[in-house]
Amino acid sequence: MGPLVGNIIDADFDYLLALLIGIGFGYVLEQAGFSSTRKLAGVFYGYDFVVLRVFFTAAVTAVVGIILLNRFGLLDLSAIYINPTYVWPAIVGGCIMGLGFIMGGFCPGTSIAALSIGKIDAMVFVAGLLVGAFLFVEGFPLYDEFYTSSYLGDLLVFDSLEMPRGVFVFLLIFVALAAFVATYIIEQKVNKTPVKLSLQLIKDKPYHTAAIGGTMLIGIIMLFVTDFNTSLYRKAEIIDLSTIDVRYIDSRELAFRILDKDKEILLIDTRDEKLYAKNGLPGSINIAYTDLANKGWTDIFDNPDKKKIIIADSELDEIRVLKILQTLGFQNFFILKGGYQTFENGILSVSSDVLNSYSPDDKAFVTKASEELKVLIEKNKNNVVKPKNVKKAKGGC
Amino acid sequence: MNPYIAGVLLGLVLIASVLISGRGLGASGAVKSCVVSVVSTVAPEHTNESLYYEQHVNNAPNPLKSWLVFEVLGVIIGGFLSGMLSNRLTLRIDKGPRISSNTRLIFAFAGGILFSFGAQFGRGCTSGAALSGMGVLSTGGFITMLAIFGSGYLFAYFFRKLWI
Repeated sequence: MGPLVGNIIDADFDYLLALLIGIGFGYVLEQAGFSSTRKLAGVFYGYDFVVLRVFFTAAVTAVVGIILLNRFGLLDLSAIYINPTYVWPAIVGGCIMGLGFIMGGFCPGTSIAALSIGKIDAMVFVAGLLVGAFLFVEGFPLYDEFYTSSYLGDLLVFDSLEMPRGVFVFLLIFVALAAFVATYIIEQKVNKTPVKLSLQLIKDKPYHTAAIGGTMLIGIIMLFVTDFNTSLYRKAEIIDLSTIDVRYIDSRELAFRILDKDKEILLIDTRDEKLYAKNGLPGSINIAYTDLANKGWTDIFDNPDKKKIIIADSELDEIRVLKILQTLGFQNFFILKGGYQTFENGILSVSSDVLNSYSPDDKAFVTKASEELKVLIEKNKNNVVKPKNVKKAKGGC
Repeated sequence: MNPYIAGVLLGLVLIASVLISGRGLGASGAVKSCVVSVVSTVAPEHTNESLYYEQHVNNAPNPLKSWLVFEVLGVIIGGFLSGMLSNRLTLRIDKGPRISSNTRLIFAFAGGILFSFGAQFGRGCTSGAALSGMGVLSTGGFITMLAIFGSGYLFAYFFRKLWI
């Protein structure tokens, strides 16, 4: 699962890839006409909306692409850089940038692309950028508190607006399309070739109409695309035993191995924290059901040297866990036959009725095991294993 | 190039960046890295007593060895290639019809200073904060984008002589 660097691609290649990504970025910026400051400024005066078109098309494309990559398990959204939210610095900084945009006619990325093809005004703008960065750094003590004020963390916009992600993306696409149509009409008017809105316009521009329709369709699809983790758990709700290869270990064997201090077994208890705190088995690791997709557990799920045994309340829950782990690409698990419930009722807190139904040998073993296990469980309390910290990509300017 | 096709291509570059390196595009950060690097080399004693260097620079490795610096080098190469293929490589100044070249350059310089200064507060510029932030659906990215373009329209009236 992406990001690829540090995962599949060695981190040493990151700079080379940055250079290649930059080449693509510069090429597209220049091809889009962003090396011309007249085009860039046009968006503010209504004579040329190319900036808006390129910018919003790019943003929507990226949003859709990133969501789809995640949906198909190719990109881990918890590992990518999310621009942090500092509300007031973003507003004030944005307004200063807006003023700089109107006066200078470029933004930093476009000025660098323009400089590369010999635009003298872009070179001067970049000189201004250098001076601006220098002034910011030198004056930092004057506004260091403001710089880090109103910090809300890695906030996501649909969470801020308290709506599902799909609805936000749909609205974003709709607004972008509406803006494309509206700005086309404004542009034609400002440039003194006004268009009449009629059915004829739709007939005259079949490709545009088709593109708008297709994009709306993507918007509607986005309403229903969940993130990878949500779909992972949703799929785990549907169990088809014929597609899952299940290997069992029964309660008695487990009890024997624990008492035998068997170093070969690795117990993964997926019940919630509270139940685990009550009677987590000695040597077991508590990884809650909801936390299975956490990358920090990879070493445990991938451990090739041990017999990995999944424990949950019921056998059905264990099969769900198994299914999720297999979807995540982990293999070779055993599950506790009947779940922890069976282990508890059959051995740990066995009732006298049940005990009397066992053969004399079994009865002796279970009685002894129950006592010893209870002591070991008490000793094991407060044994909390934390997931490894997952490296998050660095980013930002 | 058709702007919508250019937009899709730009979006794909951004997706590639997030998929490969886990981060979006940027520009202003590389400018800051250059400045920080030059000041550290020219006046190392100054950086020891400066608050910004103390908090954000001194413990980090060489500021020029950063993802953004390499990416921006790529932008220069990519822009050049595009200009070469489309026969647009010429030394010239773009400006509105009513101002002199000198006026244009003075405002370009001032605009650059402001943009760079503002980008530090916004944690990035139009590419690093607005576009990349929107791509990953960051609230900060959307705020920065709205502030840049919203204020641009407010200021546009006062600077109309520069452009139209």
